[in-house]
Amino acid sequence: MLKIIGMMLAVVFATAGLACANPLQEGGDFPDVQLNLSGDRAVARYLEVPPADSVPLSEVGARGIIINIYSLYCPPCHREAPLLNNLYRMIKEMGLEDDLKLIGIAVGNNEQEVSAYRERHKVPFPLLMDPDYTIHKQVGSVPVPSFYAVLLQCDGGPQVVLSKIGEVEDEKKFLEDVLRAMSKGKPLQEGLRECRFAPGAGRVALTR
Amino acid sequence: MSKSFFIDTTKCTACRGCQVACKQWNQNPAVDTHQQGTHQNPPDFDFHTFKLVRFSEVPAPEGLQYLFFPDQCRHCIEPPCKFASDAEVEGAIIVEPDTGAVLFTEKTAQVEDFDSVRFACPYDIPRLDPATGLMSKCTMCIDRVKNGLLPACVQVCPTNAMNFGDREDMIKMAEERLAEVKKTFPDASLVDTDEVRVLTLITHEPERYHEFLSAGLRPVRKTTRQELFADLRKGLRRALT
Repeated sequence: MLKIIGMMLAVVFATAGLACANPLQEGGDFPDVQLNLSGDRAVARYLEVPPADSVPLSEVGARGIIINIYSLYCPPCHREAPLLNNLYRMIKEMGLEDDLKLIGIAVGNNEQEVSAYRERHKVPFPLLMDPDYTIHKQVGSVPVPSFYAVLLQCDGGPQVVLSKIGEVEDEKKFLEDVLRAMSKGKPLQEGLRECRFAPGAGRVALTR
Repeated sequence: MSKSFFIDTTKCTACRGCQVACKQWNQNPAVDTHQQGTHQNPPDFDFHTFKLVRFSEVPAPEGLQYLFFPDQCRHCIEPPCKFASDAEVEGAIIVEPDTGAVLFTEKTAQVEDFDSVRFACPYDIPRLDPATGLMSKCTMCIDRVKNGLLPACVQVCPTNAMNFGDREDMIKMAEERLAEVKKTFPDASLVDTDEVRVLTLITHEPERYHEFLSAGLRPVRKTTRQELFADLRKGLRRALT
């Protein structure tokens, strides 16, 4: 019951001028949040991490990650679901799947609620639970939906390169914005593929 | 094609999205309510409230248990409300032939004995606008359904607790889900399936959710001698006009 009230409040804040939200700043650090994999092997494979209940964001085997902060109880989150599915497909079709990952963090939602959203919209990318709002608090208690594009830096922790409050209305433009921010002015592939996480060694530079 | 709802209470988290969507689509205003000591709000149906998530807090061996029940008109296959109103005004309540939706028309304002309609309903659904004499309840969103859309409450339900479709499909869905739920809740059941177009899956005894969840729960109304003579007079008037 409390989580439902909490989520309703989050939606109210979203429409009331982000009353309690404190979004993380672009260019600033992104917390090394623990991603809740619930032992799902398919999710672990996609994120290129060992199968586990949880894994730190910094160990994801990619250069960047788009994080969708959403909730089952948020109407715009349902409205944008087909666009996000398309965003995932575009990343794949561009051959960037190894470099750029897309995940949803379901704030305040339990397993049943995550499944309901996944089944309803046939979501092909991982949706991870955040039932007690742990990650939600760490990322600035942003309204839903919100987005962070996070660069997993070669030297240093995860960094916010783009933040967006509110739903995606043009997924193509959104992806262009993310890629521009991720590659930091360098040619796309070069900018994205500078380093990768290696177990025991941290982020190591990739040689071409 | 005959239609039905399937309400799976095991998936309802009482977010009340269905209540809000119902109000919005039917352009029904909010009603003035007061804290009743429960999250159920408003406390009951009224002329402007066709859909209501009922909250029930019941003690159980494992602790306090919340039972949620999204309540609405069951669109009975043989609707007693229609039989009651037909006795006074033919066509005040109709059954839409394609879907089976039970619909209150403007003629309900001509029905003088609202109580006979309300008490005929085993689920205590019909409500009256005292100002106009009109009666109201869930319309099955017949305007949406006739245009190939889902009822607003079903469209908005995020957990898939509310479902709608061809009756055979809904019965199949309900029975398959019942078999699955019974593994965890051996006493789970479907309520009044053969009599209504709203199939409801529950895990506990119906009275734990709401006093009128199942048709068998409403006490048979005793007719007083005054009411009996009033009915006779009414029938006589109709016969003479």
